[in-house]
Formats: sequence, C-alpha cells, structure tokens
Amino acid sequence: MSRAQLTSTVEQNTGGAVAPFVGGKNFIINGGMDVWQRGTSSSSSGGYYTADRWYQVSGSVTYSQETSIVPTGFQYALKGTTSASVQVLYGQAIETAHAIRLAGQTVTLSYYGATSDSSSVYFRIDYATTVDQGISSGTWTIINTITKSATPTMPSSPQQATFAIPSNAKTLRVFIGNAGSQASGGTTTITGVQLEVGSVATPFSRAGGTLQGELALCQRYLPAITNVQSSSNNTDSFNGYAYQTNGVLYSIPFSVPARVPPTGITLSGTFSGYGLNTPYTITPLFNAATNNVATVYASTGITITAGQGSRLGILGGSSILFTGCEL
Amino acid sequence: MATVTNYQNLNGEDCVQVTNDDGSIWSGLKSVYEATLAANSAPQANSTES
Repeated sequence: MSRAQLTSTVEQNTGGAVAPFVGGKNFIINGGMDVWQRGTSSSSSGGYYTADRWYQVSGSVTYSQETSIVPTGFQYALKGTTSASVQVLYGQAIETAHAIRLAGQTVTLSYYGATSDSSSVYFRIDYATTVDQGISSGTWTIINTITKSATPTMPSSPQQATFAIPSNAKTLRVFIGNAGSQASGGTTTITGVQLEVGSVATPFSRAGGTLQGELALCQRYLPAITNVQSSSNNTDSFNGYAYQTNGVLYSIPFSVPARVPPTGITLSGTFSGYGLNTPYTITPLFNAATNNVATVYASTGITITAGQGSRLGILGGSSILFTGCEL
Repeated sequence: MATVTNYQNLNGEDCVQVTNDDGSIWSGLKSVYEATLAANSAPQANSTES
C-alpha cells in the first residue's frame, strides 16, 4: 500500500481530515442496496431482477429487499431465500472504464453478510482480458476465492478479503454470497459491499457519493422512468406526434446517458396516449434508442389524425425500464 | 407461458413483444431476444439484459 493510501485509510478510520464518505472510492455500484428500479422481489435467476446492478446467479432462490437484518447505518440489504439446497450467489461486473484503474493493484472487497445457518460467506473476484466482457459470457479467470465466518445477524464490522488484480485485467466481476449450499428455507443477506484500492477495508461509501449520485450510476446501466405517484391522475408525460393515422410516436430522453443504447423496454402498469384531449389506453412498443433517448410507438388503441401532436402518459405506479445496457 | 408476438419497428427491424405471466411486457430487438433464448433454456422476457 502506498503512503497516500495508508494515510487515507488511517484518516478515514479515525474520522480525521479525510471525510469518511468519499464518492468514487468504492468500485461497486449500489453496494448499499439503495436503488431497486426493477422491483423488490423476484425468483428469477441468470439476470438482473431486483437491486440495481446485482446479477442474480443462483436458481431456486427468491431474491428480496431486506429491512430488518441490516447493520447500523444501512436501510436495505439484499436477501436470498433458498427453495432447494443451493448456493446463494450475487454478482456484479465492473466495466473496463472503471476496472482498468484497479489493474495491477491490491484491492479489498468487504461487505456485511449474514447467513441463517451460520454458514460462511464467500468472496470471489474474476478478471477478463477483454473490454467490457459480459458477466455471464466469454472467458473469465478466477483470481481467488475466500470464505469468512458469518452468523444469522449482521456483524458489527464488515467481513473482508484482499485480492491482487493482474495488470492485464480489463473487466472484473465480483461474486459474493454463501460459501456453500444452504438447505431449503435458508437465507443469505448482504449489504454494504465495497471494493477499494488497498489492503484494508475502510468505512463504506456509496460509489456515487450521495443517493442521487448512486441513482445516476445505476441509470447508466438501466435508464428508467418510474412514476411513484399513487394516483393515476399524476402522469409522467412525454411529447410525440401521430406519424400516421391512429399511430403515435413518442420521444423519451434519459436522465443519464446509458452505457450503450438500450435494445428493449419492459413495461409495468398503465399507459395513455392522448389524441387531442381524449386519453386512450395504449401499450407502447420499443422502436429505437441511442444512449441519450429512446422512441416508443403504438399503432393500435388510439384514434388520432396523422400529423397531430400527442402525449404519452405514464400513470401513477407505472414504469418503463430500458433494458440491454448491463454488462 | 409467455406470449410472443413479432413486429417490425418503424425502421423495418425485426422485433418481438413478449407478455410475461406476471403481466409485465417486454418489447425489443428480436436478435437480442433470440440471443437470450439461446443462453437460457427457460428465459423470462425481462432477462434480456443478461
């Protein structure tokens, strides 16, 4: 560890001159499980379904938001509940633009982990020598796997493990969770995940520094429009026009440019297309996207004259997720 | 069982609309959907990010 790193670690641990919460120190996005744009519970695996940026590896597991088994200072954790004897694993890939900074470095991976059967928790980092390698494809090499003891309650300080990242690493992926199979009904709960330079775990910081910063980082991988209003009268609105009679096209700009252009949309809830002032219930279809904006359209369900202006309403409780931007 | 409907977007590209059992709907490029099918023997529509 360099003198600067050591000084930073000491200062952070003692609450000295370096602020304990530092944006950019943590290479894991949404390590505090603050952002859940896709939802808070899912039994699907082999993809991203609940907490943003966390790949759900294992089948026969229900992944859900946990609010009780959390360490002091955290609101949420990600919990996996098994429905068969299975190893609960969560993964996150780190794109090259970030991971390249860790090439040739000693890094520390830390998190708070609890297991209902007091089985050990798992630390693993893999690397790929290809740029922006997808988490579930291509060639990966395991750097190391490490296990640490755990209990049914969260520890007062995080479990941690140190790794040496090869100098030719271009993309990294992290796997954490349970070190072995848990019987049906077992739980593995994690939060406060941090990957940082150096051989000592320092106090957890959001990668984005703030809640808004963390949300922006997440939306680089999942642009989303989520209307959290409870009333259907409070709609998010996006402008468009009738590209043909009874056919409407809308533009939806992203709050944060996406990592790569999305390739699809996932709809949840109810959507209205307005022809003059009359609302029609429509089901928008994915048309096309860049990393800055997407267009969606509907050619059924609305009565409108070609060339008229129109408005897309995303009703309260509804959402559009723009998919295909994850690694 | 998800329901899959083919369509072409306004650029003439092949796309699909997938209605899931939970009521959520995914639509997007057919090539992405087919790649997901190839990678996952039991795909969900919103697993097209994997």
